[in-house]
Amino acid sequence: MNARAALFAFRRVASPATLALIALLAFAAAATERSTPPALAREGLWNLVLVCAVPLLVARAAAHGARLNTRERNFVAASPHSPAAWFRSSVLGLAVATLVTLALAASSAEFSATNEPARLALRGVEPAPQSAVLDGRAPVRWSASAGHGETLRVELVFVPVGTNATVELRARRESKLQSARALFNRSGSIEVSAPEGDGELSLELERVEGDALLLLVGGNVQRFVPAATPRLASVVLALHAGLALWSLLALAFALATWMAAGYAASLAGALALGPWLAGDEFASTWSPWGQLFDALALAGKGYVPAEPSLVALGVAVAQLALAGALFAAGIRRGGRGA
Amino acid sequence: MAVPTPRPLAVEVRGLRRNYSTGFLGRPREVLHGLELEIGRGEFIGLVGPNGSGKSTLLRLLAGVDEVEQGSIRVFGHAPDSQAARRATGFCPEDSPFPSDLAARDVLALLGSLHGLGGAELERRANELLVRVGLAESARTKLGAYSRGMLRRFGIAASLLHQPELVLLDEPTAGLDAPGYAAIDGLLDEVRARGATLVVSSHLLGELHQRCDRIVVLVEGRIVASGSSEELVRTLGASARLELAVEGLDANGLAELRRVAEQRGGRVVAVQPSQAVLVELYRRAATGKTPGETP
Amino acid sequence: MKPRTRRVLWIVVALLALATFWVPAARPRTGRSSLTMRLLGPLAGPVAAAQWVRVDLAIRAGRTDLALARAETAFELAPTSTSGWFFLSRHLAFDLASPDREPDAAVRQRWVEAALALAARGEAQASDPAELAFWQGLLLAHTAEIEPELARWGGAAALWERAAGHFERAAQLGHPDAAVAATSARELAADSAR
Repeated sequence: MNARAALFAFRRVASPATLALIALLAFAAAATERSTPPALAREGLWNLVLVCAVPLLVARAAAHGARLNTRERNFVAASPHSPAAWFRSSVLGLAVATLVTLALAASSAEFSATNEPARLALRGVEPAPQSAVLDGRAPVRWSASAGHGETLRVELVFVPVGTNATVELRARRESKLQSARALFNRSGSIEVSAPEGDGELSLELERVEGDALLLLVGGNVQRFVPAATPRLASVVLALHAGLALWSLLALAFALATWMAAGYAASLAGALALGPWLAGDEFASTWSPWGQLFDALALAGKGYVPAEPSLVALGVAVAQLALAGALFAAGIRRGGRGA
Repeated sequence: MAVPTPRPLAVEVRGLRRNYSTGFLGRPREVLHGLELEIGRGEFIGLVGPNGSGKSTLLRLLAGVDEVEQGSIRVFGHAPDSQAARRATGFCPEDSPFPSDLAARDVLALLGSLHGLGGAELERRANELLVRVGLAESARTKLGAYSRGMLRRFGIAASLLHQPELVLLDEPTAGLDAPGYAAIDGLLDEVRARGATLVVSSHLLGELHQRCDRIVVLVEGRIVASGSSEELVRTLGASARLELAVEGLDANGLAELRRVAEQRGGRVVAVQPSQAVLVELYRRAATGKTPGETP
Repeated sequence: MKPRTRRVLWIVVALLALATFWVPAARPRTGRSSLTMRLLGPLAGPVAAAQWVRVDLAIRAGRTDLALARAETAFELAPTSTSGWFFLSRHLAFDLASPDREPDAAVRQRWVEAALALAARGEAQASDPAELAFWQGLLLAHTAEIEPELARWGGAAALWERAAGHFERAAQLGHPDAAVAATSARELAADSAR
C-alpha cells in the first residue's frame, strides 16, 4: 500500500471542484429544507448527495482505472508496485473519497434535520403472514419473539375500496396484553409495545372499523428499541452507503481495465443495482444497495435503520476481492501479446 | 546471434520471441524472432533500427512492462517483472505515460515513493533532477501543459530518480531541442560515471551513440549487427558514411581536412555545427551577446 | 477544453443547480419527501418505470402486498402514468378477482371494487383520464358477463347501468369508442332488467 498512490486515486476520483460542488448543493438544499419534517429532510438530503455524487464518483473511478491501463500503463507496469499493490492503494484512495462524500451527506442532512423528537431504532425483523388481508372478517394471528421494552411495528398498504379503516394490533404474552389502534386513510404502520415476560408472544391484527382494505406488507414485523438520538440514523446510513459506494467504486475502477470507462461505470452500476431492480426481496438481505434503499426509506419515516448485515458486509468484501482480481488480471492482460 | 561479453551480466536475453495480434481477427505478427543478447554491467548499448524493428518492444520487455511469453530475460539475475528488477531499472518509454493532470514535482514524489524514497532525500533528488533537465521553473506545472520536448526531459529525469542500475531510454532525444540534448548528455555521463548500465534506442545514430560501448542493430526483430562504432564501420567497409566530430579548427583547417579526405577517395557530404555549437548560440542569444563575441 | 472554459462551465452548473432549490416545488410539500421528488425531477419517469418492473416481479411472485407498496412509490414518482394505473387495476381485477382463482364471491367483489377505486384515483391524476374511465366501464361489463353470483352486485342490469355511466364519462373526456359502448351498455341494462 502506498499513501501517495492512494492520494493520487483520491484526487482523481474526488477532485476539489467535485467536492465543492456537492457541498454547495447539499448545504443550499439543507438550508431550504429546514421547515420540512426532520426525517424527510434527512432522507432527502441523503438522496440528494447520493444522486449527485454516486454517478460522478463512479464515472471518475472508472476513468482512473481506464487511464492507468492505457495512457499510463507504462508508468504503472514499470513501477515496483505490483498490480495488486496498485489496487490496494487505489482502493484506499476510493475509500477516502467515499468517506468525504458521506461526511458531506451526513453533515448536510443533520444540519437540516433539527428539533427532532427521540425515535426508535430497528433491532431486527420477525416473520409474519405474507400478503395477509385485513377485511374485517377475521383477525390475522401469528407469533413472534420480542423482549420487554421492544416495540413491534407492522406496515400496512391501503387499498382504497372504502374511505378508511381502523386497525388494532394486539400483543399478548401469557396473561399480559398490549394493544394499539390506528386509523388508516392511506398506507402507514401501527406500533405496539411488547408486554413483559419471557414466553412466546402472540400477535393479532384486525380491522375493527371502516370499510377500506389493508394488506400486511413485507411478510414481517419489525422490532425496535429506543434510539439514543435520532441523529444515529445518519451514522447508520453512512455505514450502508459507505459499504455500497466503496465496493461499487472499486468495481468500476477494476472493470475499466477491461473496457472503456463508460461501459465499466454502467456495468458496475448494473451489477450493483441489478439485484434490487430485480425486485428480489432476498436482495435486501445481501445486497449493500438493497439494504441502503431500505434504510433510506425507513429513515424517511423517522426511524433509525439497522446496521448493515454481516451478509451484506461479506458481499461488499467479496466484491472488493473480485475487483482486485479483475484489476490485476486487466493490467497483466495489457502486457500480453497475441 | 549471441554476443558474448567479458563483464558480469546486467541483462541476459535468450530465445526471446514476441507476437502482437493484428487485424480484426487478431492474427499474430511476430516482432521479435528468438533474440539472444547479453549486456554487461556498466555497458552503454545503443539499440538502433528502423521504425517497427522491435526496439521499443525489447525495451518494454526488459523493463518488465510487457510479459515475457517465449524465451527468457534476466535482469541482474531476476525476472524483469520482479520487484527486484523493477527497483534496479529506470525506464523512459517513447510516449509520456505520466499522469498529465499532476504537476511534475507531484509525479516525481509519487514515483519516488513507489521506489521507497521519501522525505528530504526524495525532495532533494527531485529538485536536483528538475534543475538538471531545465524544468525547475515548471515544477508546479501540470504535465498536460508541457511541450513534447519538456515531456521528454521530464521522462528522462523520472527514469533516473531512484538512481537505477539499469537505465532504458526509448528514443530519448526525439523532440529535444539543443539545450535539452546537452542536459540529457550531461545526465547520461553521470549515469555512466556511477557504473550503471545504459540501453538507449534510436531509429537514427545521433551524437549520443558516439559514446556507446556497443551498437546493436535490430531489423525486423532480428539482431543484424553488433559491435563498437569502429567495428560496424569496418563491417561496412568503404560504403560506410561516417560522421566525424571536430573541434578547434578554423575555416582554413576545415578546408584542409576536406582536401585530405578527398585525396583519400572520400567525399565530405555535409559540414554542420554540432549540438554543442547550437547550445552555445542559444545561450548567447539568451544573454544578449552576439554570436561572434566570446563570453 | 480550456481550463478557463471549464471553470466557467463549473460555475454555470453550480448556479443552475442552486437555482433549482429556489424554484417553487411542482407539487405541494405534502408528499413523502418533497426534496427527493424535486431532486429526481426529470429522472422521476425512468425511476418510476424501474419501480413498475419491480411491481411486475412482485405480482409474478404472488406478493400483492409488495406490489401495492411498490406501486405507491411509482405513482408518487409519476402520477400521470396512465399505463401504471391501468396495469395495477387490471392485476386486482383479473388476477385477484378471477373466479378461477378465488372461489369466494365476496372476496372477488372486494377486489373488483378495489380495482375500480384505483382506476378512479388514477382518472383524477393520469394524463389520459378517458382511457381509465373507459376501463372502469369495461371492467363492470366484464363482471356482468362472467360473474356467477350477480346478486351481490344487484344483478346484471345494475352492473350494465354502472358501466354505461363510466362509458358516458369516458365519452365526455374524449374517448372515441365510449359513446357507442355507452349506448350498448344501456341497451344491455334494459335487456337484463326485462
